[in-house]
Amino acid sequence: MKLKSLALTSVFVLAAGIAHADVTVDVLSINRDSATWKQLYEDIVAEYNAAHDGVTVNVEFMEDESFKQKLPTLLQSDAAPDLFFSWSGGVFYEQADQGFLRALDDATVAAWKEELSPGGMAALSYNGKYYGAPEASQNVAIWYNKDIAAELGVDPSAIKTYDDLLEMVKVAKAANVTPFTVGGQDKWPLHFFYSMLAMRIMGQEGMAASAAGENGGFANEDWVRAGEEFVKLVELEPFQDGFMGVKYDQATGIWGDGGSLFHLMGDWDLGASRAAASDGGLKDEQLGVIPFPAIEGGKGKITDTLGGASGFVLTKNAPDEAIDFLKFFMGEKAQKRAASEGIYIPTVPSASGLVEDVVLKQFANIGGASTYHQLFLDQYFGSELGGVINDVSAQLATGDVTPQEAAELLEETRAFQ
Amino acid sequence: MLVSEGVAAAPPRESAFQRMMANGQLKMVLIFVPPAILIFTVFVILPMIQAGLFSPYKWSGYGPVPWALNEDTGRTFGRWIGTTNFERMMSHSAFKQSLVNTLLVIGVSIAIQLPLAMTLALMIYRSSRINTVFRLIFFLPYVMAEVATGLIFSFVLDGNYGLSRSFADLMGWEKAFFPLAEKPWAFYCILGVIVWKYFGFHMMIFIAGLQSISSEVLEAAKIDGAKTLQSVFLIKLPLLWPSITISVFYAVLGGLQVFDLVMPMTAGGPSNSSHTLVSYLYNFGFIRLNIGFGSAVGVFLFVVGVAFAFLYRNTVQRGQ
Repeated sequence: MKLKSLALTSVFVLAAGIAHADVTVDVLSINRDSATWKQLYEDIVAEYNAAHDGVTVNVEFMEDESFKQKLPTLLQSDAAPDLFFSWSGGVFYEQADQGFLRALDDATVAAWKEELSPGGMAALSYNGKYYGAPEASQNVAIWYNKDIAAELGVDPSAIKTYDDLLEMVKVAKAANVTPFTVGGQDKWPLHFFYSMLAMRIMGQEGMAASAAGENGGFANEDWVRAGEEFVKLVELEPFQDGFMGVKYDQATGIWGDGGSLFHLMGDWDLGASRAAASDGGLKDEQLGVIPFPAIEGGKGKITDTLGGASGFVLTKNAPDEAIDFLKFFMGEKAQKRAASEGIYIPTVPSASGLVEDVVLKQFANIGGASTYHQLFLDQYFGSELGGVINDVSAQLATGDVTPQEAAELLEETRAFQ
Repeated sequence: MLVSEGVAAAPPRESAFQRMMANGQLKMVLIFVPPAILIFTVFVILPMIQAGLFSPYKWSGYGPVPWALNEDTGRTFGRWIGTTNFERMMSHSAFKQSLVNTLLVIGVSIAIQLPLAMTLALMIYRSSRINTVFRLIFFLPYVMAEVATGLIFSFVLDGNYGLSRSFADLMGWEKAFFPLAEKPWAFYCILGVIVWKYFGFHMMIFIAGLQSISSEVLEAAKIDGAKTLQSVFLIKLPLLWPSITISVFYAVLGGLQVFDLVMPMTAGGPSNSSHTLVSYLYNFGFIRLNIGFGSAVGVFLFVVGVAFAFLYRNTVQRGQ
């Protein structure tokens, strides 16, 4: 009896759905911890739903780690979302390669490139096909604590070369100040050092050649030199005590409490360190930002940037309405609001000038002047090789591998892929 | 009496089956055995077979199985690579380290944890109120969830605000000690926590064993003039042999499975020096989307576990 009525009800519900030709677009995002970011999503969705009869957009949020773990299963099930958040890089390539994503048609791509960031769209493309729209731009740079720099009598903004940086690290060490805080247990904060040095040494072409397995892949003198330069820094013992037992969240809290002169981290650290610090973190006027310095004889430029390129991509069964919504969701209006409210640094070119936050503005400028934007290496090279990059970065920092061994380990993993 | 009369009255050729029919045992078997077999098959046997089948593939975990054809791409989801996963595993330094670490866990469990548990059991096995209190205290660490224990100790051993800091301040040291960040110490800290957490469990096994030793035997020994140590080594321990073999069995199989303590304490670091076999499997198999490789590690773990259980049952525990 009960079953029968249940079946009847569902028939009615289905019939009602068909009658209104309702289309539901399900969006799966990672958690947006900042209230303003979440609010932005909710407002955009509400606005879109109000303006489009017969289309209902639902946004769901999931914590980062469970998102990563559930997504592979979710994509293969009937409960797959129509749009989902992507960090791009190796995992995204795998999803595209296995046919789980819906590619945009050429006309749409051409139209979107007019308004959205072509570079960001390229990050969400694979084998010449485009799968989504970019959202925030993320860049890694060296933060410095102006108060500590003043006490030490140094000016980090004068740093132009890696040797300058090493000199300043020595000054800090001599004055008993921790040069860098780093969350070594997470490994990826350490991989920024190795990545940045590799980029400055080999430049864009060298990196592309490594990825393609040319010039010995990773087992070449450039990668060995990147390791050697990193070891030069490591030998000065630049990190806080016990850095290998600390995760990023704690480390950025130490930095926010004034624990070190420098911090090599992305723009997102502004909010993160203030949330993790014990008394609200460093104020705008205490914070300085410089790009990672150039290296002598290196082919990379100081204006080459390392960072993220995240956005939302379409799954293979996504309806056309999802494409329309995606354009609105990641579009100019939303990104301009994000820029002016300081929620994130937008990728849409017309919005980047609107960033008002004095600190984020410096990152927007670094991103705007970028001569070559490299996706985080641990994502760019996929989860396996990327994982090994994180491993060897940590091992170089603890002195467990030589630069030569690190390069060989990377090449061995690449060759296996 | 009744039963034996029934058997005598029945025809001489009555089979075991008929006997079970007659006394209702068959009904019990039919009710209880199929669900158990079904659950065991679905949750234990099938995943084991699956891991074995996945292990010769390079597979990211997308698609139902690595050999299935992906209609969207016209290729299979995974790629057959034969024994490569096993070869890579065997030559991987982090795997070797995790194997050494797992052996260390087993060694420490047997050489330190069990003697400690035995000593305490001998001290508090007699029934008395104060002994009950001690048993409860010693057993408490075992009751706590592993992940919670790991988190608690990651705070305790933290050099910024943990006990490690207080200890350094107390001693007047300028620098606090960060044991979980130091390669030589990280895994020993985990070993310490393992001993602390599980000795109570083995102690309970020994207490149960000690309580089942007949007091007459002990009294007789006492009358014959046996000293305390003599009665421990010549009477109690030999009579406890079955309990000890069970404890060792649990210690070894438990040692092969250590995972939940490692993740919150060190996550396998620094530099992959504190992985156990299971945390290695999880990190290099699942986190890095390499299900075929993870399956290969799983197969290795399974073979080691089964080989041990089989050998142990047929040698040490033979006849028990």
